This record gives sequence, C-alpha cells and structure tokens, in this order.
Amino acid sequence: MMLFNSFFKIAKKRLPSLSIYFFIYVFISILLGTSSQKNIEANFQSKSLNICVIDEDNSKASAALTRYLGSIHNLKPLENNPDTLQDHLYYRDISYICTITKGFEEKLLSGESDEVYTCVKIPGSATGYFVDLQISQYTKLLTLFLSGGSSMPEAIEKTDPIISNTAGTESIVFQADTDAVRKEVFFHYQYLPYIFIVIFICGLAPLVITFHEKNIAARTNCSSTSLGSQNIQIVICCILYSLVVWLLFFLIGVFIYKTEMFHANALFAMLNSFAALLIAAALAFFISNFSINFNTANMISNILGLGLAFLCGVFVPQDMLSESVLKIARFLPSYWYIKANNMLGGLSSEAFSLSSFWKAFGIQLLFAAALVSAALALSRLNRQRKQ
Amino acid sequence: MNIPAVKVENLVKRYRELVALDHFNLQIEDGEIFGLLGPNGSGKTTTINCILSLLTYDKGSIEVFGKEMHPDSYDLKRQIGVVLQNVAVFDELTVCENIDYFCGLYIRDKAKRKQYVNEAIDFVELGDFRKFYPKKLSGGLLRRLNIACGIAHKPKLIFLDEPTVAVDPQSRNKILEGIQELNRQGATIIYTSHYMEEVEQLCTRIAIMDKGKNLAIGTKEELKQLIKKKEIVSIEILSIPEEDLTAIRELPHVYEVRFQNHQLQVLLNGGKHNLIRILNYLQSKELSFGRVYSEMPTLNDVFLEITGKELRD
Repeated sequence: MMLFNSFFKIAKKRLPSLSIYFFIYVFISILLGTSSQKNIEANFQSKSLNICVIDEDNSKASAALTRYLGSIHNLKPLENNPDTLQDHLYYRDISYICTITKGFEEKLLSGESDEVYTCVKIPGSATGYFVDLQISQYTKLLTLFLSGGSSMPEAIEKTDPIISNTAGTESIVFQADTDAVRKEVFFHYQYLPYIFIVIFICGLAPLVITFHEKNIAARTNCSSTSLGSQNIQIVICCILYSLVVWLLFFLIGVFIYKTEMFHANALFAMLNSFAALLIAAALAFFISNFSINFNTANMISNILGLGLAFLCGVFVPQDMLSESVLKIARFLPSYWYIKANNMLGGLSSEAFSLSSFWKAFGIQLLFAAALVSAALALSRLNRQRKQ
Repeated sequence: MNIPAVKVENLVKRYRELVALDHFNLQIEDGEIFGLLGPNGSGKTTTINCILSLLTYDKGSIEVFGKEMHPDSYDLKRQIGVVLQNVAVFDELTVCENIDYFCGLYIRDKAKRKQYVNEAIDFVELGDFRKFYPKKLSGGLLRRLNIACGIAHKPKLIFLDEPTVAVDPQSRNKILEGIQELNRQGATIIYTSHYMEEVEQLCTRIAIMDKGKNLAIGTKEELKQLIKKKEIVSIEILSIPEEDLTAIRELPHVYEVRFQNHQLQVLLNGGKHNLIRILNYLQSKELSFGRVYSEMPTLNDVFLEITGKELRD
C-alpha cells in the first residue's frame, strides 16, 4: 500500500495551503447563509404588507378580492399611473401592486382562474410570491364554487369564511417555523458545489497528477506493483479524500446547527450534497488526465466553480435568473443540485416533492457517471498514446 | 550454459512511419556492465523502454533472465531496478521517504524495507540529508537520490540511463564508483551515457547503435580492432618539406599524414615500433622536433568511424 500511504503523506504536506481555501469558503458560506437568513426573517415577519389594488373591473368579484386582500394587508389607495406606482414600489412604500383587469368576473364565470389579474412586485421578494399565492387561492376557490352551480354572490359568500381561515393558517405556518429546520442549514449546503469543485480540483487533481507524472509513473510501472493494484490504491485514496471532505463539511454543519442537521429535509440535503461531491470528484478525476500544475488547477477550478455557481444559481437565486440562463443551466449539474436544495429548504417558490428531488438527484448522478466515463476514456487514450 | 540477463531478438518498433528499432538484436550476459552507445534518436531509450515493457513493440522477442518479458511479468520486474535519465522523485517527500516509497513498490516487509532504505542511503552517501526535501539538494545529490530510489530493493538487473548528466566531477566519481560496487555485489548493469570516457572506464562490453540498428558490439578492445585507426603519433616540428611528408607516408602501416600548425600527425593502422621508425626517419633527415605523443584510438574514434557522427549529433 505504498501509493496509498504516500498519497496521504503528500496530501498532509499540502494541507496547509489547501486548508486556507477550505476555511475561507466555509467562513464565506456561513456568513452568506447567516445574512440571507436575516433577510428572510424580516420579510416573513411582516404579515401585513403595504399593497396597492387597482380595480379596473369594478365587479362584485373584484370588490370581493379587494376586500379579502384588505383583510390581510394594508391597502394603499394610489393613482392608477404607471410612473407613480413604480415610484412607490421603488421606494418600498408598497411591496405589491395587483391590477384586477377588466373582464375579471367574466373570466371567473367562464371557469378561468389563471391570468385573471396582473401584478408587479419587488424583484426576488418572497413576500410577493406569498401575495400571489393568496390571490391564486382566492380565485381558485371562487371558481370552484361557481363551477358547482353557485351564483357570484353565493360563491363570494361561501369563499370568504373559508379563505379567511386558510389565510390565517398560512400565516401561522410561516411564523411557526421554530419547530422546523432553519434556512441557514440549507444555505450551508447551498455553496457546496463551488466549494467542492475548488477543493477537489485544487486538492485532489494535483495529487493524482503527481502520481501520473511521466517519470514517476514510468518508474512505478517498472516495479513489481501491478497496474491494477496501483489504480485500486489511487481510487481508494480518492474515495477516502472525498469522504473526509464531505464528513468534515457535515461535522462543521453539526457543530453550528446541532440537531437541525439531522432533520429529514436536512438529511435529504446531505444526500444531495453527496451527488455534488461525486460530480466534483469526477471532474477532478477527469482533469487529472492532463499534466497541469497547482496554479493551472487553481485557474480551472475558479473558472469552472464560479461559472457553474453563477449560471446555476449558487450565488444568485434561481428565481432571479433569466429564462435563457436557466435554459443553459439545465444542462449543468449544479442547476439540479441547487434546484433540489431550494426545494428542500423552501428557498424558492417550488414546493418540495420527493419525485422532483429524486429526479434532480438522479440527473446529478448521471452527470457524475458521464464525467467518470469520459475520464476513463481519456486515460485509456493517454495510455495508448504513450505506448 | 549461463542464462543471459537480457536477450533481445529481432526487435521492431515503429512510431507510425518511423522505424525506431529495426530488427534489433542484443544479448547481455549476467554480471556484465553493458554500455549502450548511440547518438540522440538512435533508439537507446526505445530499446530500454521495450525491455522494461513501458512500450509495446511490433515484432521480436525480449527475454529477461531466460523468461519472456511482459507488462505483467511482476516476478521479473521484482529483479529489475531503473534509474531514469530524468530525476523521478516526489518533491513533497524527504530523501528517506522517497527511497522508502520506491523500495516499497517491491518490498512489502517493513523491517526489511527499513534496512534496505538505510543501506541505500549509506551506499549513495546521503546519510546527512535524510530529512532533506529534493528541492534542497544540489544537482549531484539529487542524482544520487535518483540512483538510491532505483537500487534500494537490491535488484539483479539495473538500467542506468544517463545517470551522471549535469553532475559535478566529485559526484560523478562517486556515482561511477557506486556502479562498479553494485556490479561487484552481483548486479548486471545496463548503462547508457553521452560520456565516452565513462563508458570506457566502466563497461565490460559495449554496443554501438544508430537508426535502430546494432552497428557493433564487443569489448572496448574488440571495438577498437574494428576500426582502421590503431595509433596516432603526434610530433611538434617547426617545418617539414613536402618530400619528407611523402616519404613518411610510405613508411609501413602509415595510412595518413597531416601537418598543421607545426604539428605533424601520423595515423597508423597497426604494427609495432611505429614511433621509433618515424623518429629515426626525422633524425636521418636532421629535422629537429619537440614534444612527441603516441595515442591509442579512443571509443570516441570508434564511434565516429562506425556511425560517421559525434555522439552528441
């Protein structure tokens, strides 16, 4: 097991330079997680938002919706002028503008509940989605009673008591989050794709390259240690290295967030991070086929790490990315990682579903498998070229 | 009958259109220090890499200690040590750790390995540098570490590919003495070098190769017999008439006479008492002369005459 022993001996000697990266990234991850958490708390604490409703329909249904929204939020009467409205939104006098368009009641009577109003909200604001949800629930319930044969006044009469109860329950759900896992836990996982890529490409790839260096490999191949044994030892080293990094990250999480790291959703997030770990390890394995030094590895890790992070929503929420960026991101593994993590932590508008999680997880595994296959093919090609 | 340490028969290795080894034959006896000489690109390293199974080949056979050599001939590889031209050590490991690593690729027993590592360190005289990292070593010490990594497991067959490149004279002497000592301990050595004098000093037999072919093989004396030039007589003389040069050219065994910069050079293809015969002629013609030298041909002369080029061409 000479390769195995020497691998970790060399890794140990490179540890100081690598640990600097590790601790900086862990620190940043915790810092970002904490700051993001504060924003979310502030937003969700304000149960009643300042909103503006522009009623262009002036019907019974639109009046009922306005009344309903007024029962939850503070309605600010404003002039129906786009500039004025934008100014108030910009200066945060209001958080949401709902325009009930003409034909609202007619559409509801004909069974349509989608696109019956237009809205303008603060970009990236979770509270905006909250209001969207309340309006959507109200209109859907109203449509349900209408389709059951009720007239509009009857439907409004039946909807109001139910929706007011639901609205109350919704707000309790948001506030009674103390039992559940904190969002920081998921922010702890959020930045992992970037951190893993850097730690693996700057740490693991140069280590493997050291053993693949032309002269050292020639001398090793002349020895009585079989090629199979050499490969097995290197693979075991890579697996152990990966597990140590993964475990270290998890233990740091346990140290900060204690038992929350063992919450069902947090454990799913941990499983999700395992897929990210595999991808980073596979990427490092692929890169180790090229004779590069530490500085080149560092450059590659930054390009890949930052590129994936910005395209896939590691640093910027996916909800804020444009559709064209998301279309490209779907072909990248970090997108699926973040999508799953967002679902688990409630960091996006997408509700958690097990099937969606497994789909995202499976896609990541496929990416890892594809990278490993490409690395093996490249390694075989290199060997043939040398001979 | 002794089993040869290495037997190469009809070896052909092609790199696409280029024929690197063209039906190459070689037999190295057990206990020899065998020198492999050839200009750059002659096929020396390709030959060694084929013998070590680092390269595949198109045709021919290679036997080591009477057994066919394959990439998975680990029982044979256990008996082989390799010192490559380029230093192959880990920068992150100390002298001791490096030797331990490469020795450990052959020797699993920890106690035995420790003993072998210490012996290798003593052998290359790196005892004071055990904890040093390769970057802290001078060129000569680094070469010695490279050798220690290749021989620590006490191989029976050692390949040394240019082990003294860029080494100071003191370290070179130590390396050469070490190689002779390894041979005395029973190891067969295959040695390649650009330094003719090293090969001449060390090797019991020498092969000269060019363009993938074995041009000549034998002891240095046998190789010197292959060439026309057997002796060179150089005499310092102020001037000499043309008719005297012609007369000297007519003397027995003389095949070429040169006169340049007051230096008379007479090239002879054999015979005895050549120097006396030439000096007697000069005295008979009352031609005064200064210093007189008589040189036997060197391996460089052999190489030049056989390959038609200098070793570093």
